[in-house]
Amino acid sequence: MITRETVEKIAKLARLQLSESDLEKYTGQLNNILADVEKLKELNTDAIEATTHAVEVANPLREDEVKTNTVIDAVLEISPDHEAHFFRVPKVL
Amino acid sequence: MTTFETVIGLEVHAQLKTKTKIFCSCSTEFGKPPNTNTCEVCLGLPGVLPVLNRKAVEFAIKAGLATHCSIQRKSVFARKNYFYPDLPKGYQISQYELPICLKGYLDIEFDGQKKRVGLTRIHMEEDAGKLNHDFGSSDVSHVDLNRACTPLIEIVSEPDMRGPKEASAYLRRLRDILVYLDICDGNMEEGSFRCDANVSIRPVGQEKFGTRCELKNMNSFRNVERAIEYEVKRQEALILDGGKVVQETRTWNADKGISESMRSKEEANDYRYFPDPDLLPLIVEDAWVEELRKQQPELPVEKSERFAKDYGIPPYDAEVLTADKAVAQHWEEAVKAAQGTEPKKVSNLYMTHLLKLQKDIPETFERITSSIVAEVLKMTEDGQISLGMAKEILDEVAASGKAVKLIVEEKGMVQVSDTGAIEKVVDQVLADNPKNLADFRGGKDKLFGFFVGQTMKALGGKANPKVVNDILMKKLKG
Ligand SMILES: [Zn+2]
Repeated sequence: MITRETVEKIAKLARLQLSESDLEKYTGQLNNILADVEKLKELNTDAIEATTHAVEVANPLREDEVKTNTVIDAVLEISPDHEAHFFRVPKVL
Repeated sequence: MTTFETVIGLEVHAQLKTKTKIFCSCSTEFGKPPNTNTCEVCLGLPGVLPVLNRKAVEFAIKAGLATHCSIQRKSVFARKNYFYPDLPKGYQISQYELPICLKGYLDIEFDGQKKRVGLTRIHMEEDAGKLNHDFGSSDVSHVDLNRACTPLIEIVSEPDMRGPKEASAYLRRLRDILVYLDICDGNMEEGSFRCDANVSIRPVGQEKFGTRCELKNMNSFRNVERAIEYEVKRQEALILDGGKVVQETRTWNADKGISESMRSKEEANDYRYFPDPDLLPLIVEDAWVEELRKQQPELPVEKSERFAKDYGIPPYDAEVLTADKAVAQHWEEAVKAAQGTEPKKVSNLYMTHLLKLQKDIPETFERITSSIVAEVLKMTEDGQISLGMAKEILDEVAASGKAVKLIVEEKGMVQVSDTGAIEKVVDQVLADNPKNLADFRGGKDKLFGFFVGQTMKALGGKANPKVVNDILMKKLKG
């Protein structure tokens, strides 16, 4: 059972600001999702290995070869603040 | 009074020496202008897909094989979620429940004791960017994302170490292995080999672990030892004073010689790991592991044992010579090139002189190639120069890069071994000192040194002492 406090905590960790009505709504929605998962639990999955992805494809790997990329100039341009090719952010320690 | 036992577990982050980043094709080259080694992926732009670097996987497997881990057929990348300006995506891609390597060990030696330290796991992850705080402004930081997405392996040990010396012996061994494997350059000061330590204490005999603190920011082996020593004393004092150790992260302040609490932020450790939907599970087939196993180079312990056995040098020499892969190679090449010179003599020259040179003047040391060492050693062996001269020549090679022959000529360092020339001088010395000669022949053996000194002086100190001794011995007896 997901409580309102849990939703508040998750929202805070995700830096989301939720209104009172959003909090109500998401608490309800998350509980509905969990109820569906509970339903799935009724199936016997003892012989099935836990899956993290729906498709079991061999992992595509990349060769270790350098490619240059200049997207940074455009990214710096649209960033909130930059200086001398650095991103500038409020002081953190 | 209660005696305490220290319990230490170490987490090492090693930067892998791949050309490109772990999930994109940006260069990992150090020292580039800020943010120039970046792309859509490592900047964390929306809609991009990470693609895993094969080399990074190979390096992680190599590290696992060298530390006797079992390589997992299937491992999974997960997102570790937290916000920090050096982490553009708002999560770090790491491995959590299913890492690539599990359960290994490392044999270490310290204070003449041997010990086996267990490894819990090795997992792969991406590094974060770098924050600069010291640009003169007190209210802003500058972010450089060149390092973001650089491949790391995190090597987690069991809490098997019982003191600071053990911890640093473990770290050195681990560093040497990674450098031998050529997968990490092992530089603690520059941060390509970083260590965090989990330290706790418990009364001797107690099985349950005490509350641990995590120490960070120790950028040398010496600082790891100092930080652990300090932390142990701090925890002891706290407990003996009736207090309790609080689980927290502490940062080592090397200037002050103390560790400081990094105020554990609320929910700091709530990372909400979950499998990264952008990356499929990593499947490592046995054939790949076996292929890499065949490519594994000789590691420090094996090399040290081989040197002692094959070349008959003392185990201590062998261990010192093999700690650094480049030194070991240099030495072995010199032994081979200086055929006829006993390996022990070659080892002596390294132990008494060359290792110090390499440490003091690493920039110019490379001028002393192993064939130059062999050349100089052969000259001493042939009696052309003395061992002291050999060292002087090597110093000069490092300083000026001049050829050995030229240095010998310039310094007039030719040792006279020509018996005819020496005999002539000896005859003169005996003729010039009739009284001493009579005294010697009368039984004053001590005067032998006087004659050696006179002869050497007359030859400008360049005579082969052994030849001088032989000739003097013969002539003095009359
Ligand atoms: Zn990139």
